[in-house]
Amino acid sequence: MSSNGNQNRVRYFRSLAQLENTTEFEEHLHREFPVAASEFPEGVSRRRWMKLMGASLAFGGAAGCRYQVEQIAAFVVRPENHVAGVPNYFATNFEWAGRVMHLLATNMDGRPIKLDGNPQHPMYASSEQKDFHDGKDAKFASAGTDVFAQAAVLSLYDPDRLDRVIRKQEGRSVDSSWAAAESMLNELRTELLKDEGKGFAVLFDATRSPSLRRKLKELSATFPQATISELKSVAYPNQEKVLESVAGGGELVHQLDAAKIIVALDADLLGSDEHAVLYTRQFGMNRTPNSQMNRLYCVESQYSVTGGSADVRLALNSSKLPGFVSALEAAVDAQLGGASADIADSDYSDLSYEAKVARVVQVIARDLVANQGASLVAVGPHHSEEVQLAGLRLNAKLGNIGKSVKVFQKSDPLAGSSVGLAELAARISSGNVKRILVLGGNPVFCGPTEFRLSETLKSAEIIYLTDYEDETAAISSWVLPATHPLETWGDVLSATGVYGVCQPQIEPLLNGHSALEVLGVLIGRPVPAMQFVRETVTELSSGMFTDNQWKQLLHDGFVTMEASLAAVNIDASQKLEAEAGFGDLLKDRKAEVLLLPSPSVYDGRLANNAWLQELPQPVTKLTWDNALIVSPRTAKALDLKQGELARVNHDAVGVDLPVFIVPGVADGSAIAHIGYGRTAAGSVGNGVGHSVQALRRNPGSWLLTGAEIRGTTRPYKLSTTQDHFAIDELGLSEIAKRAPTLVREGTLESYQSDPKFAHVEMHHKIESLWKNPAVNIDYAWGMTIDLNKCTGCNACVIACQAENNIAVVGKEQVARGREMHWLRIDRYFHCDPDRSRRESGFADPVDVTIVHQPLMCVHCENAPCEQVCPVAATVHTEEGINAMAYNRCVGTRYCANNCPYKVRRFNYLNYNTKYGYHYGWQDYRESVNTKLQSLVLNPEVTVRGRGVMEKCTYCIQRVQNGKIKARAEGDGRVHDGDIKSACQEACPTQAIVFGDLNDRASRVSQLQADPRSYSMLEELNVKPRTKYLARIRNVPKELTMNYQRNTLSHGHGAHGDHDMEHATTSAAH
Amino acid sequence: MASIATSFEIDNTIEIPGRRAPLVTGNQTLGSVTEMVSSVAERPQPKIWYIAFAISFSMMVMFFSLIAYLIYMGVGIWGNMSPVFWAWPIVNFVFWVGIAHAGTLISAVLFLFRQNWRTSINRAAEAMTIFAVVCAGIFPGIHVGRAWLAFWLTPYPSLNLWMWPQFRSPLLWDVFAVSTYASVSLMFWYMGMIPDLATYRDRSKTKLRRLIYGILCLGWTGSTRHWMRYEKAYTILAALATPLVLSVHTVVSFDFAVSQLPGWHTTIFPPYFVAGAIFSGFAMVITLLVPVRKIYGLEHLITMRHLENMNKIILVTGSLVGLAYATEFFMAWYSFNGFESYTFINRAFGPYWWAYWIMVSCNVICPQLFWFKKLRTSPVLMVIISIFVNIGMWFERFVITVTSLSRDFLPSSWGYFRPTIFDMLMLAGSFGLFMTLFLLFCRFLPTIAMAEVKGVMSAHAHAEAHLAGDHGQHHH
Repeated sequence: MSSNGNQNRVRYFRSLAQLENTTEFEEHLHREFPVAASEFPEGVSRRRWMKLMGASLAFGGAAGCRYQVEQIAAFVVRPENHVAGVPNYFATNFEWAGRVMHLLATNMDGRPIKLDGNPQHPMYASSEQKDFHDGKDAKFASAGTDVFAQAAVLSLYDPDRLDRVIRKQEGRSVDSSWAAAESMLNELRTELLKDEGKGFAVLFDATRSPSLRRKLKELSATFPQATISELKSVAYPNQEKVLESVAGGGELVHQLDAAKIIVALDADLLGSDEHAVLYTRQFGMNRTPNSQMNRLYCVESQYSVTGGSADVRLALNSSKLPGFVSALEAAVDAQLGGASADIADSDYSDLSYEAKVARVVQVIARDLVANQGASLVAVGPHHSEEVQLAGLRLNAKLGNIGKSVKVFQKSDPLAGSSVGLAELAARISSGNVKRILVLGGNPVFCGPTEFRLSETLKSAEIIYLTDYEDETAAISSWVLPATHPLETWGDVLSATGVYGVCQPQIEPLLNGHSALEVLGVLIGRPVPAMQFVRETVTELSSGMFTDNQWKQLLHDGFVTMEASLAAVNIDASQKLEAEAGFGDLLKDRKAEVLLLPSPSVYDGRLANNAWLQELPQPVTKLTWDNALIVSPRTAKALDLKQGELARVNHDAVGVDLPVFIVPGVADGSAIAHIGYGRTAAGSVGNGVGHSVQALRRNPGSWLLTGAEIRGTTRPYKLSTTQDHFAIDELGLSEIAKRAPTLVREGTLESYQSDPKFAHVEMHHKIESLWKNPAVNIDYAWGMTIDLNKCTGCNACVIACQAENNIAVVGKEQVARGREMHWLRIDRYFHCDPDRSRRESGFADPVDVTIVHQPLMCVHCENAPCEQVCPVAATVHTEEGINAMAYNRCVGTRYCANNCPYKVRRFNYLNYNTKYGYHYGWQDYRESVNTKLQSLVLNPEVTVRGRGVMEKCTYCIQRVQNGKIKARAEGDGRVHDGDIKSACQEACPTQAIVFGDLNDRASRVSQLQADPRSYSMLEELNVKPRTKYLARIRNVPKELTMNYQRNTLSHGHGAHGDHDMEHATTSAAH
Repeated sequence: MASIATSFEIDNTIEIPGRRAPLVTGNQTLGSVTEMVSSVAERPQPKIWYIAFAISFSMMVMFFSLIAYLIYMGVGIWGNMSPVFWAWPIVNFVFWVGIAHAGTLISAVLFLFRQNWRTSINRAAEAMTIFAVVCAGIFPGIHVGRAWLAFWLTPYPSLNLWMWPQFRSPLLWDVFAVSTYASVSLMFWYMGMIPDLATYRDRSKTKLRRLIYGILCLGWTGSTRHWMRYEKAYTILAALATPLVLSVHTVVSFDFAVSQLPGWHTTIFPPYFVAGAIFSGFAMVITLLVPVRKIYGLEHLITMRHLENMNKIILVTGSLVGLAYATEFFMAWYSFNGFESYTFINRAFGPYWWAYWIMVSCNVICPQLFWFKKLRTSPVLMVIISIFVNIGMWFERFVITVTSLSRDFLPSSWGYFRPTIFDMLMLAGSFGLFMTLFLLFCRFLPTIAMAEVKGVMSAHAHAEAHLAGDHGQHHH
């Protein structure tokens, strides 16, 4: 059933049983490219693809219960309810690495091209924004997603995915077939049944699928002696243990929307947390500056997304966090006992570091005590059991448990039948396990080193079901291609207990089968996956699940059920014993290293996803690499230089990492992301970054204290999309001066005293050379971005990339500043300019905070790009969209020079036909087969060739579709909420609002009338249609830093800003 | 048959009040001038010509091969990036357009001002102009992302689109300005060459040469009527070309000045660019003519006085350029515009400080040496200085284009431009093209406007003879 070379065979199948195979021709095949070169006949046209996909759509339809007949048929006769070119939407769920996403898939002619959050899902519905609608109007509902969900479609069409069964015999690997694999599995069953599965083990990738767990339970029943173990590459055993002890196991889920005070203690709630999308949504709900506005404290060593969004952030080494928590607990205890907060009247900026910490402790304690039951303390899951427990205890004392902090009961059919990794490793090395079935997860790369999985596994015979021919595949005897989650039936159970199905959006493209199917064959009950899932849901709903309910489930994507809350028993009398010392870690040149899952490639499994590799990481803006992220002071103390490798030694293990300096990281802390340095990821991910897996000793080793870090002088080139080079002091001081005028921010206090603080009064009347032609317009499109809600999570960046067919350019090209993202998120450091200048220079600024600013084309009404294009390739539509006529563009690039926002992107090379590291004469790599990859393209958007300028179009294709729909189905007029841009749809906090400015009642009009609204670089008189809402920090006055207090002067008075006002006169002419 | 002139040298750089210094030295006769100039093309070329031609020609071939590769691959082979969307190719374009200024200035402006000393150098300078325009014209053409569609910048009646180019764009004005300049200069150059081409025809010893020169000289017979029409046409073309000298670089400067980029958006650009162009153009004339004069033994025609005059112009325009630099800084400070002042501080002290100070030392400091007569009359030194001036002028365009773009309004988009090997090879290649054309010009066309030199010679020859106190040797 492999698709190698043979064009006439049946391409789509129902189950393993249906498979027939011709092993002979499979096995002699020596493929030139490890990619899908042979999957798709040369020159497969869209028309041919339509034919092929017709079949799968017909089937997919059956899957989605649109068409009852399950058969393969071409679109000779148009299936009922299907209009070619009009997308269908399917609610589905998606799971990988035990993370769950509730999605709405856009399926264009049988192929999924875009994934967005399912707004109906209870997880999101409860946190729907209430700013502008009462929750009844579904039009406004949008769920938001994260980068992983947005990028998943690219992995689906990844030509590097494994597409054939491989069998290793005597050191040689030969292509085999599913039929051979099936008979192997049958033989294995017969053999295992003899002694109840003795010597056999199953190692499965972390999963929240009830069906898969049920299937494993069945396996355990069939082979009682078999070892079953779960591989969690990103696991927090300390947290699990604490939950086990206080709540009998369970899932800890915060309710950020129920908390006025949120204290994140080394917990990246809005970034790397499993529930980050939900939390970000909940967080965004209370970010409109009014009395309801929440306050986020963040105490952390890294500079995380959460830290960037925090109202107050304190940099503190992770190893000192226990001391902090203990001090906080003491302060809370004291204040609960009636003591008043011990806060002196002095200025926060002037305090020493220790005094700052003490002040923060007191203020947090005061806020927590004042908001009992409506506050939340979240402790980083990588911290010790004692610290975890202290966090829960604090919440319990404050009465938050059950309100803002919920622990849901977890029911696991596998409970008691599975063992830990350590036990599995022990059984393998003792020879008790001889054969092992590995269901995904790539244990050789991801597994903790302590159990020496990569070594011990070699002594067993491995049957490996995998997406890629990865590091584990190299030591496996049988390698079986797995399906992508979008290709197969499955289900998920969210942390809050909501059940959802995964319905396939497309037939397996590359000959894969799911774990459910493989296990089915192995235990001799090959039930089709859909049927098995249905059995599961029937079982979960106590045996009653009608056809109609099933249809409803497929339609909605979930069934409303919620796990009940677990009782949390905490001994309030206990205390966290930790030394509250906040001294300097760097004194003896030792540092701590905090390992984190990568915000781009997670644990490495997404390494072959080019969108994610090229995604600028939230704070560093680093692409195609991981790095050792340290503060300027740490770098200085340890002789580390940006762009050079550093050697990290910890417990006799050493790794090399390039240094990346980020102001605001705690001094003495170094941050490194896992998941890089893959050697067998595929043509995109191989050799990207440096592996730190050697430091991952056990599942809980995230924080390594007492590491020795040395600078080597070996240079290493990093590619970032911002600050492409080490900026000189002159540049840095200018940035420090300019940034507050670009990203305007104020404290809640300053906002309340002057809501229009973000406006800069111009000294001169701005006049234009041009008169806007009077046009009779129905709509005036515009956008607002609320900087107070933006966390910089990047979801919009990938959403835009997926929607608009934006090319990936590779590391070298990013280094040249040629990345193509239409939407970028600018990150600036705000700092105390006077003290920075005086004390340490702007390379090591004082009192740093981060601001994010998503920026895409702002669609100037008086667009400077249009005036200088010699061929009129960039022009205005009547509705105010600054449009690009790609066909007319000859590529003079003058428009980009004249664009003050630098949002225009130029195709310097043919980025859309090949991607990778090199182009032209340097291109020594095999060119990636893009036939399969190109299926991810959105047919509504032109694919740009080289030599052409491109940029954000406000998703003009969505605007046009909206207007067509309004004419065809509505009253002829587009109403507010009918059209959502891709970035808007992906934004978990709904910080991005798009709409019609002519409609005074529209959300975007109302927001542009908000006093916080301002245009960036207004003084140039380009009249941008996209406006920003100034960021408001809800900083308590005791913790307000000098420059935050003086924000008002950014608008008026301060010398530097007169420059800006005066900029009007010359630059606007 | 005129005899070859004697090697009677006279220092014609001394200004004696009331007396005009001779423009041609060495007791030239009309015949000796013809002989001297024609021999450049008629005699076998010196070895150095072959060496120079071999080098230039291979560089030219490399240039065109690289252009082919560029069109095959895309402009990404250059170092251009975001935000430096324009880099070396545009720098080279402006550089070559600037070089192209001296020729027409010498032939047209100086002609209208009756500066007779122009006659010995105008032909070579005009030729240089044409070749520089050729180099200049190539760069914007290949610089666009889709070079095969560059013709869309011309206003041709398109049946497919029914649209004109966008007339508000300075790039379009550029197309008109440069192409007008190129065509008028070419016409001017060619027309001025007709009488000399006829001389070449008459002296041709082979049929082929006679045929080719015969065609090129359009049947010139030297009749009074021909001369009369020639003079008229020449004056008219000079009048036409004169405003172009000012307009072409003015329009080129609009490419920058009309944009709103800090560092580009200034009203001083037109005069500043024109002064800079004349500055670089004259420097290039010096760079070329001093060796040519030496190699072909033309010292009596291209005298020290010519060279000194040009050096004086270099001194004046160099000072103007220096003044412009100072004015820019003053305006940046005086305007109180934060973006503007940062751009200029960044130019001088930011990451491109080296480029800025190369520019200042080459363009402002170097030509000041010409205040010393010793220096401005030393052929070796003036070539060195003029080469520095051209390096400086290349850097001036680099500073304006690249440093302004590299740091504009949003610091998030700042970048640092690094050229690739292709940038460098193509700049070198354009010199190859320029030199190839110039060497061919020396080989096949009259390097000096014989007819014009003869026209201004008699009076001076007379004066010279008087100076020598020898009436008896008077040729008339």
